[in-house]
Amino acid sequence: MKGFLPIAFIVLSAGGLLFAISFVWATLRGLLGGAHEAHVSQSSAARSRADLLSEKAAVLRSIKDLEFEREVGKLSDEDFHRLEAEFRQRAKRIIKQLDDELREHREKAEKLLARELEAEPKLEKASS
Amino acid sequence: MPAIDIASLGTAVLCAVLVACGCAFSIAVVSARGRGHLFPAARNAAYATCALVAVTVCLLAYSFQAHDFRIRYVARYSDRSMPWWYLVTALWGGQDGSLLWWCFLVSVWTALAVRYLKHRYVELAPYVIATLMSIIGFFTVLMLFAANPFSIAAATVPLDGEGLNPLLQNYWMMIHPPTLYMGFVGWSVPFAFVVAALITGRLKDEWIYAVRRWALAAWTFLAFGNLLGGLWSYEELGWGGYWAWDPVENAAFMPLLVGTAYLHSVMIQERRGMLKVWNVFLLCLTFIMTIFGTFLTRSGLIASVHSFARSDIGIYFAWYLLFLVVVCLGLILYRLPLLRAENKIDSLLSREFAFLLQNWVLLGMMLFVLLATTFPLISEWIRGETVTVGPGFYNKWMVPLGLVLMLLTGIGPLISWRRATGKNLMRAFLKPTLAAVIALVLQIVFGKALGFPAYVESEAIYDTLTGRVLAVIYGASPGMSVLLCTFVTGTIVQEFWRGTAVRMKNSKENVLTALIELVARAKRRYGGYIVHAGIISMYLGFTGAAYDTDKESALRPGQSMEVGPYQVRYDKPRMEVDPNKRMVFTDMTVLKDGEVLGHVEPAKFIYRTHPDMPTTEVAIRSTLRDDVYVIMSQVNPETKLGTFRVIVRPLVVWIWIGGLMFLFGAFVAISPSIQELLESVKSPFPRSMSLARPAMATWFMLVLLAALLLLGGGVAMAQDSSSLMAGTVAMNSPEEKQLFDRVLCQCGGCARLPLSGCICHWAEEKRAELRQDLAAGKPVVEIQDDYAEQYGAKAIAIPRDKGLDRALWAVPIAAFVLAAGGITVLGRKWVKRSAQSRELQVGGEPAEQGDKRTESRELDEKLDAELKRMDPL
Repeated sequence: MKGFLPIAFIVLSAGGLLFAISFVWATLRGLLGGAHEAHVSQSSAARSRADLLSEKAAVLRSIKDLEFEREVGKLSDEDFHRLEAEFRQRAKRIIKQLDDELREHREKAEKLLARELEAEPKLEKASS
Repeated sequence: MPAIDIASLGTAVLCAVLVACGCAFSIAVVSARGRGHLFPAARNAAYATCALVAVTVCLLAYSFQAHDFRIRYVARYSDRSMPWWYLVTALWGGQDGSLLWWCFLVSVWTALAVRYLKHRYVELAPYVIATLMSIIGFFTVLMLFAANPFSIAAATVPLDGEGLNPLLQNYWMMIHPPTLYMGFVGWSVPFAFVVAALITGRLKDEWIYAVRRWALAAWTFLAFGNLLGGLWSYEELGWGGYWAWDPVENAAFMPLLVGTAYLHSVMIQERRGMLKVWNVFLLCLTFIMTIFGTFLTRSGLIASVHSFARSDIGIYFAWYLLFLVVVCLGLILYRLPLLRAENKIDSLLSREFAFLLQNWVLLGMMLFVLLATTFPLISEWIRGETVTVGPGFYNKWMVPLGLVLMLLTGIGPLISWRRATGKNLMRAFLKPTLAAVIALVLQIVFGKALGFPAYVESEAIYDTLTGRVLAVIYGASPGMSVLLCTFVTGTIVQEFWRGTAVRMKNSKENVLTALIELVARAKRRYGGYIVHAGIISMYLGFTGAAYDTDKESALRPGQSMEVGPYQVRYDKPRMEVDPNKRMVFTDMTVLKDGEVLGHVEPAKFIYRTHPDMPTTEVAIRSTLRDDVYVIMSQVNPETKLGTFRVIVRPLVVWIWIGGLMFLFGAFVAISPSIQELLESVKSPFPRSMSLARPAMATWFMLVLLAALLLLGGGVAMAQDSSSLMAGTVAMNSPEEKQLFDRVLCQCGGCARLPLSGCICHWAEEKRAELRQDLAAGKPVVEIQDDYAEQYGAKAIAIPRDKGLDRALWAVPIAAFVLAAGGITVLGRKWVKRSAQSRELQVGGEPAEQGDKRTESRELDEKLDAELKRMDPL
């Protein structure tokens, strides 16, 4: 072990240095070449959506928690309704935000679908 | 001599770390200011920084293994005879190396956080990285300019090193410092998130969800690190205790108190949208306390048995602390309008208010410890005279605060959110209260016969009314402790049972399935209850200290001494030698009523590199009821006459069992839920966006820790430990014990040890002198005052209850009472305002119009559908 460990630590140092150099290289590419630019601009919307989804999950879990507390008798009906209303309001705001983010895509998809459906009878007529 | 110039290479890599973290910081800030496309570059630069820090650690570790004594730090803390594992732990055995180790652990947390942030919290992420880089930058500057572990010895290269302090050559030193440091530096990540939230103004719930697991993981490491410190002290320092309220211990305890307050108060913000300023403040304060603790122990400003030597790095920490305080306060004030509460407290009988009170007690305890720890400095500044605040002060004052905290631990989970009704309270509290009262009655009736009376006689730390009141509270603490521990246990059992019953009814499951499903679906809540159960177990263990029995005797082979219900027989001495040290063991047998229970072998170790510092290796025989703790003070090799001290410490093992329980509870609370795991599998987004990876990393760390504890714990229960400082002193009367406990050795080498535990020559002579005074009929208080006059106030273990010294307890108590009054007044005001706003809202919210109403209905339907899809608790 005594002879092996110094070599192991030197190898680890060299490996760490290689890692560091590769990350410095990736940093420089990011700064100068914009290698990841497209990826970032596309994924930022997805990232904020992921944040909203995790926030929504937490709020929904809180509503379930409230239901549980009412069931075990820790929360009166009046308090349950009041607190649940607050959480529902928050959950609805998040759901609306999530829906709004997809609205543009949904409208586009609906238009495409409508156009396809319009085109279908014409195709049928033409084929007949 | 190694072929590579590691010293220069190491310093060069440290410079590279500074450059890399400066770049990462700058790119992160630029990417946050409208150039988001640079964010991946900031992440890569942060990774590069972390990799470089890891390189420096590997280089230093290599230097130790290769015995590169050109490097001053290696020469100072290692020698050629040390086994490879102590050469690894020597890395953090001294000031410079431990700073590097600290920086390395920050970079481990940073790398995990940067990975976590790849596809999350896009607005916060750049500032989180910038903040973490600034922390790494600070430690790197510190190493480069004040404590470089790669600096070269000015004189000629020594043939061998000085060797590691014998006290640090112990398996606990392989586990305890890394765990504690992980806890300290772990708070950097939640702190970075809260700074990012303050800078960006995104102060709703986003940052709370983001830091939830990070804060829990940091808290777990910190709590576990503190516990391991106690275990190390108990096993290694050999003075018979597990916590001495030393400044180094206090430095680790204070952030734990504030962090615990944060973990509870953040639940109020999650549930009710309240205490936003308070939570931001608490999180900033927790991080600041970790730096403050480091400042205290690293600067050498306050005397401690195990702090580092006085050095000039204190000034760096002082400036950094000032910078942190200014930045945090500035940001909080700047964002005050965004931190307004969404709700008010509806009733003083509510969980919100109970948590607020619990925060008040925790912060009160922190203030107490903070003032007592810094009091020697304050006293020196104000009146030019330093004082000592010994463990007796803390032990007496912390008891009432601990009892109040235990009561609130029981009340908090039971009481309803918003407003508890009489029916609620009756239903929640009846059974636990009944159980607690029955337990107390049983203890009063049978406790004495079983060796656990409800009331014990206790010595007053002051000869004033305050001292006598404290002594009465301390004396009653075993009974109070049994009462409160049973109450809290009752509340926990009731919570589990009620939840299981509801699940059994709703899901038609059997008891076991319902219980497992219940915990699996609300892991934070039930994990928290398991943590509380662990704390109760620990509290019982602390209570055991009230029943300690302690005896010292000089024995010849074959002779026995009686301590409590045990007889301890001295069989024979024996000597062993290894390349590192000589070991003198004494074989002893523990008996009860003539029946042999087991064998123990306390020892003295004399290390080759430190022959003048023999260590005392204690031997412990542990059972669930008590520990027999045997210390060998000395043994004469010719006559074989040995001096031994035996302490019977009831219930100590429950502290370590409680530690395992809270580790398990924290593990349950942090781990991802079934739903999160399922979501991570079916998520349409990249896998790294899920919560699973960071959570799995946390699982891994906790499993590793549990394995280490089990491994170490197994050994710990069986064997020995050591001390340079402590020893055993024969005391012939209660007055002698009282006096020797109150005055400290002034030989200059062991300043914090009381005469009751110091074995140096000076202490021996002084004890003889003081015994003569006692024999002449001089009262203890008078002798103590004379001693203080002769050697100064710092020679007294607990400052007197008069003049400025009284401020030591009067200031925190006044702050404590004022805060209690403030909270009550504020709470009443909130309740009143809340009632007024409810009155204004009578009639409901304004009716929604046309489209809006339809939209709201649609959203309601979507929400109901989502809730239906979720599993019930």
